[in-house]
Amino acid sequence: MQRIRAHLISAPSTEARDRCRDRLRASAVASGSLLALALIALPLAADAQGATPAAQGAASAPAASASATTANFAPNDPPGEWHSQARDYANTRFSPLADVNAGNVSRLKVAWTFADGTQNGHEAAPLVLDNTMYLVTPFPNISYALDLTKAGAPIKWSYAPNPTPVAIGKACCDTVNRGGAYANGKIIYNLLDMHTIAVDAKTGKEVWRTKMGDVTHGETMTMAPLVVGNKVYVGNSGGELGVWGWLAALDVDTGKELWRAYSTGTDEQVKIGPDFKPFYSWMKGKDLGKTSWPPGMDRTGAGSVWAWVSYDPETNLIYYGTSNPSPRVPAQRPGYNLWTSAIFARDATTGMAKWAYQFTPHDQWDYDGVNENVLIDVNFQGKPRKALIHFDRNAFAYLMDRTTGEVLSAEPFAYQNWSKGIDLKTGMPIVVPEMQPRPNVKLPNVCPPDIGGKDWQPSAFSPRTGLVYAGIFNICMDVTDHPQSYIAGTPYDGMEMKRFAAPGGNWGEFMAWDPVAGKKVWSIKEKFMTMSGALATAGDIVFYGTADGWFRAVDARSGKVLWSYKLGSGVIGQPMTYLGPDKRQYVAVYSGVGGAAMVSSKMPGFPPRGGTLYVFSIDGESPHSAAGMLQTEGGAAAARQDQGMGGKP
Amino acid sequence: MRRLSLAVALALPIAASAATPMSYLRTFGPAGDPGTALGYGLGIVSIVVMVVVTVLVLAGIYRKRPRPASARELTVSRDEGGLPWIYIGVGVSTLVLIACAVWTMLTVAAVAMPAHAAGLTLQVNAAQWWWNVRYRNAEPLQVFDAPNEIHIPVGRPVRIELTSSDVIHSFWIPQLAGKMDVIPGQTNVTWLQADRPGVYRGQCGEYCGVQHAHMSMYVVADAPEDYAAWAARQRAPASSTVAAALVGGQQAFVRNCGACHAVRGTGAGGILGPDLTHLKSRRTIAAGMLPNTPGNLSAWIANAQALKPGCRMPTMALSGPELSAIVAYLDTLH
Amino acid sequence: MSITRRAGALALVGAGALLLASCGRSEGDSTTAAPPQASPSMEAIAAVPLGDLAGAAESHLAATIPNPYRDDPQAAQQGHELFVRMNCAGCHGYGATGGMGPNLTDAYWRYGGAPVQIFKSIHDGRPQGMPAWNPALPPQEIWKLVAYIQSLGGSYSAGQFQASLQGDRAGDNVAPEVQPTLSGAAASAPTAKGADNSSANAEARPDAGGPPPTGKP
Repeated sequence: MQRIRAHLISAPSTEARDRCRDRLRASAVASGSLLALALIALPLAADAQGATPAAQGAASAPAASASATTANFAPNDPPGEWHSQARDYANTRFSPLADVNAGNVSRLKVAWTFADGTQNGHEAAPLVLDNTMYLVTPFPNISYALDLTKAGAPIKWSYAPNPTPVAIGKACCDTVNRGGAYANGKIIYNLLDMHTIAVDAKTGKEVWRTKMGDVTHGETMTMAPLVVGNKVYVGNSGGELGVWGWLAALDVDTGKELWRAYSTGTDEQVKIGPDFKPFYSWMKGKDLGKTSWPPGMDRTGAGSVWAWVSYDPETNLIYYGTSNPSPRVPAQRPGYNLWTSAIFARDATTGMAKWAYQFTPHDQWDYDGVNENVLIDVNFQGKPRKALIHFDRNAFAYLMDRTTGEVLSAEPFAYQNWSKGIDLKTGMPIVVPEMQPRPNVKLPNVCPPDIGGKDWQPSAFSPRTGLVYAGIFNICMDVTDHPQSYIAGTPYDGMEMKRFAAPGGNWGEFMAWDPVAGKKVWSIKEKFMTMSGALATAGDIVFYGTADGWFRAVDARSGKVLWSYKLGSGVIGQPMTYLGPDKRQYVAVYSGVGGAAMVSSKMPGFPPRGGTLYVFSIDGESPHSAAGMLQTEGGAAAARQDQGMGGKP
Repeated sequence: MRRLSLAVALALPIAASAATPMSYLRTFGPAGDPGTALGYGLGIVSIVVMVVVTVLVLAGIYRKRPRPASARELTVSRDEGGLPWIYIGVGVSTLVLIACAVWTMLTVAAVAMPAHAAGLTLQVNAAQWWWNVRYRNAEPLQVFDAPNEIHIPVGRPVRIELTSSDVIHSFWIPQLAGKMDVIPGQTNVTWLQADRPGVYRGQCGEYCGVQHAHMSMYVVADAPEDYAAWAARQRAPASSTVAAALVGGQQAFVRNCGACHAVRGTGAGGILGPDLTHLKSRRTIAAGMLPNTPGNLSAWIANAQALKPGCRMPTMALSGPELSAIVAYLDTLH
Repeated sequence: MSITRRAGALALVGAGALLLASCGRSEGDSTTAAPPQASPSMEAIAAVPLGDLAGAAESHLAATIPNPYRDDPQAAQQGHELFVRMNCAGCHGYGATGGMGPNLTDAYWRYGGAPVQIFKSIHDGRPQGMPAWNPALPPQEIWKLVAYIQSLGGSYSAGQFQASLQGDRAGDNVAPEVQPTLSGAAASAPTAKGADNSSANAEARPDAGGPPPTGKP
């Protein structure tokens, strides 16, 4: 501007004046176009949220500019319903409901509760559709349908599938279940003993049951299936028992297995074909899932698929991670140990791999790669990218291009000392040589520990803030490796660990992470582990719980804790929110500590186990509580009341 | 003692090396040859010195002195002419000793490191009372375990990294190299090279418990092609197809033995005891103690404690038919 | 040589020979050989019931089956090695304080905490995923594991079998009014603190004796 003024004052030559005029014109055109673009983009962005403001608790349009981080919320279920654990294919765990907001969240009170009769770790979220709430319990994996239209939310039906108790002794980290999925009138979920079942959502009768493996070999199933179209995607657990990890697709109506992609072995077993294009060089080659292991060890190399699967409908790709390699004594298995501790992008129809990336080659600390991949579209370094954000066990937050597998950025989100960072040129972590354990020698103070900077507890994304919210850990370990024999059905493990809090003394932390900038925006330190899922809502509230039983509501932008409530047991489940038949917004979460949070069970104040669902509403109001005597209307009895399984009776 | 056996060995050189596989008086590779040469050399020097000194002492004792001609000529006089003896003696001794010292240091340097880089690295883990050998390779798929009987290619230096599972042992192949202690908690490194194909016997050289005397091994030096063929066979898992008659034996093996022993290709994955994937390819069992015959194998499995009391292999409570089925199956593991 | 010198030399040689002869290979020098006491037969072990007997009759069998390695300090150490190498530590924890499997150092035993009951749990396996270690581990090795578990302090001695069935622990104070209704074994349970694992006295005193219950309360 000053230059132009100077020119005008000093009466410049004609050429200079022409040049000046050209510059003015150019900048006018540029800013005009930008303004026009913004005006066009705004409503487009609002539409892209996918919210259909039909019901009262409608979504409000996000205040976004053209460069904001967005996501595809397909399958765009009705805002008051919750059909799958992650709510949508992209795994955003974002609810468009906005009735509960910063102004009234401090008035949340318990509306009603439900104890499901089981005691082990409750890691699932309820599903709500057709004014019915569906629950899946930890072992013995009973499913319930609760009628939300009647007082007392009575049991419509409950189903006890009777998995074998042998599975109890093969589950490394408590006999948990991470939830069911609804599709085609069925509730589909996994049993601990290697069966996937589908239960009719209306009647509670079993529709199909498919055996996926042999529990006596140490395999179990704990993950929540993902249903896309006519396919159910399921995977096994057992990274500590030397299983052969896999992801399979079943037909949603019959349960028939359509294909299975193993995580180790030959290219044929791993379903790697000519379309496979990994971004980084060390993953290019033939039969790497076999040649990166000593002979035969790939069959007991694990790479199990025990957590989350995401799906991108535009490219028809599914994304999921694989577990640590087995045994957990790296000296026994030289080599990169592909394809463990990795992420796969596969064609959702055929299962053939499109690309893969190994987060921790030749993992030596049990850094599974199974954590959720939240599919977001970002503007990274000036260019729009179809990306995903993944908080790995190895304490690095990976922003990756989900079409090619390129790592755009990898920044540590938790305290770690095993590596000096991820070299973005090669994609390899730079391992600190002293942090590599040797057999029978104690290696002190390794951070993060085996359970990582963050474990399976899923994060949530809010398109309104562009931030991703997650419960993370601040823990370290002393580790001693003991070489192990492979004895099927027993642990193929070998890591002796003592875990303790990292510098700061807090075991947990809840944070908001800017995926584009690669840094924490705010965080809340927690004395106990933060092993619950996160829930983000359009009311700009984020919910999470702690292992000692506090359930909190936090302002999504500032990180200020607006509301806290003490539940009966610790919270390791996933919170969700729905609209009741009365069109009121409810927030529901399970309390029932267990799972890997038990590593901190010696802390003073660690709660006993439990199994109660808490449902909150503003002022606790609901048709299930009012003045005057209410009685439960109708309802069935719970199945298998006699059971007392899991842990000490 | 050494001079005595040296004399005997010198007298019967050929017979000595064949009949005494643990004799270190003859070595067959550059890891041991300098030491043997030094041993012989110092031995000869010692003998020569001893002879010379003995002769001189005797000469000194029995030297005839000239008698005096008459009693009147008895004078007290000093014998002269001894000093040159001292000068010569000290001078020669010093030179010889310096030469021997230099030779010793050169020998120590020669046996400490191989002349050119080792092509093959073995990780030898000593446990009470057997040897596990892992054949290292940059390609993980080429890595394999083959206990107790070490194969090396002829003419190439082989680097040996030594670790112990429990107490101090010592890795000793007398006809190839000197001893190297195996100390728990650290990794010692030694090397071998065999310049001639053959079978060389080794033994644990540091008392390590009640069966220390039966903790031996064999080093088999093969021509390079034979070594490659052997390594390829060892790398392969046990055959997946088993004759119908042997299936029962295989299952009995996995059930009874798989918790401690591994046979790649089956469900047996134990690492407590030796890997048995190619048991029949070895000449001996029980760490060099017994020839590898079905009879010995049967006796060993039935009652290892009677043959090698105190060893870690427990007495298995197997019925007769079960035992013969297992032995019949093991007999196929070439 | 003179006669005296010759005799002296002969005597030396003779003494040396005697010494050498006595240094023969000793059986059982290291305890990986047979245990000091005779091992109980599998038939006797199989006859031990899992829980209580119908008719509340006292079971004498379990009380009389001790761990044959009870006087062998090295057996507990070798049991610890087996505990790690056989993957027990993977489920029960490296200090046996529990994890996937239960805590073996506390006094709660779902399937009984007397030595033979612990043996049976390892030997036969248990329904919630504890594998059966027979035949992979021969009985001697399982007894060594039992010796290790006994060394952790949570188990019961063989003589306390009845007490453990009834939820009594050594050192429990018994109210006087309850005393007459107790069976002899619980009443005469050793009052030594904790699980008295290696005392020969407990083994030598079977459950018999003591007055029969005077009547149901």
